[in-house]
Amino acid sequence: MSIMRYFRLIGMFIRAAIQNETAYRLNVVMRLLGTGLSLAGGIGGIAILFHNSGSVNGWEEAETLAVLGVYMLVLSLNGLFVSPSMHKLGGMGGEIETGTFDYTLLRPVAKQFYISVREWSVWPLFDLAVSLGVIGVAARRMEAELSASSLVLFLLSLVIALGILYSLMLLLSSIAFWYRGTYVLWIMGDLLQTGRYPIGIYPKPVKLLLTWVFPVGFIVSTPAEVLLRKSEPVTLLAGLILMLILFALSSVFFNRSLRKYTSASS
Amino acid sequence: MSAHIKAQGLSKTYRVPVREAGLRSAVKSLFRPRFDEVQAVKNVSFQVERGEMVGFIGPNGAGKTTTLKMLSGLLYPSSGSVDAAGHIPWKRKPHYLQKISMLMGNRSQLQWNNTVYDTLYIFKEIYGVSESEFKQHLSELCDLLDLGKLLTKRSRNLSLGERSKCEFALALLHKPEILYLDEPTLGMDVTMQLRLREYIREYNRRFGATVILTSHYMSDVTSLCERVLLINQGKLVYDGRLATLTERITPYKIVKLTLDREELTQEELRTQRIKAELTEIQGNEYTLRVHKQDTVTAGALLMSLYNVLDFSITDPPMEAVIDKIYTEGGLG
Repeated sequence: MSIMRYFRLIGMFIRAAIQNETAYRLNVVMRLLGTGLSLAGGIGGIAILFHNSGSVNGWEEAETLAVLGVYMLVLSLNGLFVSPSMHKLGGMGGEIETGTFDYTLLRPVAKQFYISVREWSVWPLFDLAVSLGVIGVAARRMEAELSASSLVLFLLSLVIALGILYSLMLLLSSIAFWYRGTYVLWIMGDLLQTGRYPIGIYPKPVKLLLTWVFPVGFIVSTPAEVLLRKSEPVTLLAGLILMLILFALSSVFFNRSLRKYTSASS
Repeated sequence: MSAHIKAQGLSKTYRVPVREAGLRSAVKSLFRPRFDEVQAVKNVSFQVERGEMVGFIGPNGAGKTTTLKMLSGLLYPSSGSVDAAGHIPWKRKPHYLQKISMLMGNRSQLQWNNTVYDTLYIFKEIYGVSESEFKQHLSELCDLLDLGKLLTKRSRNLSLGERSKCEFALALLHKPEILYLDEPTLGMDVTMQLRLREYIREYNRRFGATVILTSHYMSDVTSLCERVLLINQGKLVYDGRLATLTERITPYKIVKLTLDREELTQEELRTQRIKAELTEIQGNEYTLRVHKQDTVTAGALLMSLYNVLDFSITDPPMEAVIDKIYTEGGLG
């Protein structure tokens, strides 16, 4: 399959998603409401956290706001296609459970590519815009200068974050092949919640756990730290290596799981 | 010409979790799950020629769908081999998947909120059908299935009959040379069944496609397939012409007659030395089961002894044949 065809397919899936979403007009309102609530919750939490002191474990209020912005940014990128695609595969009422994965398996397209990019959601674009706004406000409060190099590094850290997130989601979705009727994708949502605030404000054991076992640190904190120039280059490198390892692992696991698929009986 | 599909010694064993009823065994199964091995398909071999339409028949759980899934490449067999259009199906090479289509009557490929045309267009991209081919195939399908007005409708607004037409269109868009149809007419009314059968026959005729079909509606099989593979308890018990199967299983005819009054009884038949078995009486309408070799004499006797208003001789219904095989478990 040529590279061009992959891109055409992605374009196709995005188009289908937009066509699909137009079927639910009320969704626009609900989604806007959701974005507003999550923003209010995040800012409210920060306000409480810094009510009495100017800093928590060395984190300033504006910096924490930046972390919140990055958290929302990563989540919205995740919600754009990674999460919808993974839920269609291994979520509740997903294809593995209902047996419609039979059809997916018979498509003459590279399977991992297909299951990873076929479902898109357009609403996270709101969250995306809001998150960029939050990051902008935080940057102005800190009077930080955003140089081209730091932006490039930030983008790189975002790619690493999404790569890790994607790999973890793929691992969790693939579990559904082995234990049908088991949904573990929700774990991801709960775990990511912990990334709402800088990993640095947590006690050390929790911080270690969140960095290496459930790498929320790499998914949310590292990009934020890169943006705030608080990170060391080695962290980014470690993230990159972790991403590559997780990606390889999850791809192997997914393809092994395909063999395991026994198809829902009819 | 070599066979289009060739299966050799195909077997499939499933491992299924089992537990006894009750809370205690439910908790126990959490820690020590027990599994049973179920042999769904046992050593099945057959060949299908290009352009042939073959029906898989057999009772529920006989292994028809499992066999179909191995042929299409969805399942790995436990042992045995398949060569379909020169490919090993379960390697799921795009080249093979381009050539086949599998339609499952109980599962939909339509996108609920998208129009039929949009869904077809997505399939066009997935199957790498070129723009000009797409136009041509689509107009052929519109012609075959009378899709015209449905293209701009959203799938969720379609009636069941319309939906099944569209499912069929999706399955045929890339012009597969092998069609695997698993209960394609499930849940359809008689008219829709007839029409869908017509499409299948027409598609087979126009494009020389090979069709393998499973169905619980015997009429699907009888009207489409001259050759059937009878599978029972995972084993292939018959491979041949449908007519021959009927003859072997039920060597009798059904005689229906209407008399001018109610007078026929089994006792009466015996005294008149008519070799027939009275199976149903409805007023002055009688149904008799007669051995094939006795049909002519029994018919003549009935005609001469009674005042017959109406008379017909038919083969036993296919359902009866199948029921006999299913309940007796073989070809006795």
